[in-house]
Amino acid sequence: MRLTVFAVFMILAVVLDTRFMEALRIGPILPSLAGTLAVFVLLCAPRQAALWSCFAIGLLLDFSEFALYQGAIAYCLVGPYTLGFLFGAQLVLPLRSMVFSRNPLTFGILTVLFMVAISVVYLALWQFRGLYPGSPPPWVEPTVLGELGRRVLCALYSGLVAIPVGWALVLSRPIWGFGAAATRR
Amino acid sequence: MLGAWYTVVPMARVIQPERGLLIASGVVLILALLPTRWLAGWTADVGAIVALPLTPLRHAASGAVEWVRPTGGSGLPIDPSSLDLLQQERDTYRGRWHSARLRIQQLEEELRQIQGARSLGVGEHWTPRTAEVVRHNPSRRGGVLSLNVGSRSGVRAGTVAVVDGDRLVGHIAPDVPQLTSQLIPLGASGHAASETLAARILEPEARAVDVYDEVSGRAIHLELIDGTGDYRGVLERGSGVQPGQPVRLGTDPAWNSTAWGMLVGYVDRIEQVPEQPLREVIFVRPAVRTERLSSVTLKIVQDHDPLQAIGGEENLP
Repeated sequence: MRLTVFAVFMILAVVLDTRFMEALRIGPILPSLAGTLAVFVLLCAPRQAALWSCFAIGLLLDFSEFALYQGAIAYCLVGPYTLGFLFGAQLVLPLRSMVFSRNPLTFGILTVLFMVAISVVYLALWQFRGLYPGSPPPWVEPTVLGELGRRVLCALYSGLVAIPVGWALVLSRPIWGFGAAATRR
Repeated sequence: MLGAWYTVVPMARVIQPERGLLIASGVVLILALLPTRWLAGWTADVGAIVALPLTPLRHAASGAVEWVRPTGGSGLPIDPSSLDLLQQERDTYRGRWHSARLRIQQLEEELRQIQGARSLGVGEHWTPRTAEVVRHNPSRRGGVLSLNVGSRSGVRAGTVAVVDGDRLVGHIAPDVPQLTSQLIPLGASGHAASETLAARILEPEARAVDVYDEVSGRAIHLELIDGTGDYRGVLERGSGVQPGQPVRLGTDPAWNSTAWGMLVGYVDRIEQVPEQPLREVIFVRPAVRTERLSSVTLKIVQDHDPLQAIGGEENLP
């Protein structure tokens, strides 16, 4: 896998996730492209490269999200997305030998699964951190279950968006420099 | 075999990709569980640095969002006039907020002054009343101050004014109008009550003089030094008075009883007089400079209790 290509796609996905996805907002529901990109890499890249890629995407997302300590001091929490992406990767990796990676529907389904896995880790970490004084969870929903419900809907929406995006990513495979094994899947 | 423990192992074998990811994940997990106060600040700086190269792209993406989906009703209005109105409203409320904060500080200061005055006047029938200084006499130091309260608020000739609870500022001049009054500060030139003072020099630890206790403090007769606002008095040599000791008003009949025991100033210096080898001159620096006073606390004596006003108006110069 060519690192430069991955870096460009990762930056694009994170920028679009953090800014452009507002254009596709349906109420509080927002899709995510970073999850689709991670699923694409997981399906096509070697295992280690895929895991490191997920780690990098999660880390960049963590550093893109700011929270407030005691309502005044900004900070980035490193972990919720990074560990969430790694957890999601561990779920998707065993499935990649059983799916058709060229089929856009595969991206849709796996992205939903992947995003739900991320949400579970994200919510668990933030809920735990809510025990620390002055660092409430960053969501607006009154309960963690409400936030989980919203994130499941976001995951479904992401899966829907992942179908055309996945198709576009499949078309871009030649420039990624994946190995022959991946090309055969 | 003994040398095997320090055998150099290639880095690639130690940090294998699988192990490296495990270590990185462990570090991230530890960071994710650290107390927030350890993360606050520096992680935001790292986030800002990471965001630096992405900022132009984010701006472009934000512009694209506006182009694809103008936020007419759900987000910020794009109408420039509405934006101006919102900014005006924000500025208005920001101004009100600052104003309210200043007002709160002012009220807290007034409360502190009144509580300070109250704590030093237990048992006396007087009421503290905050008065704003609306005009200073710009011509010279120690000039008359105009206050924004008058006889309608119970202010009478001779009413004593203090700051910080017990620092004597002066007293009210005769002929008090209904809505304003004139405050003659302590040390004002030509003011007979200030020309000489019956005072007491206390030990530095003493808080307030007990006017009925003759052994409290050392009595001294102070005279105003013209043009400076300072006072001087004479004591026998070796009195033991040191610079910095507080000087309080004694039972001076020229002043209302509510002024007795209030702080006049501090001993500034002690000088020997060659002509009077058995005496020494004590110089006293006033505790209050009236040039920049913005408010004072008036000790208003109730009319129905004239006995409290021992010095009363008849003692005014």
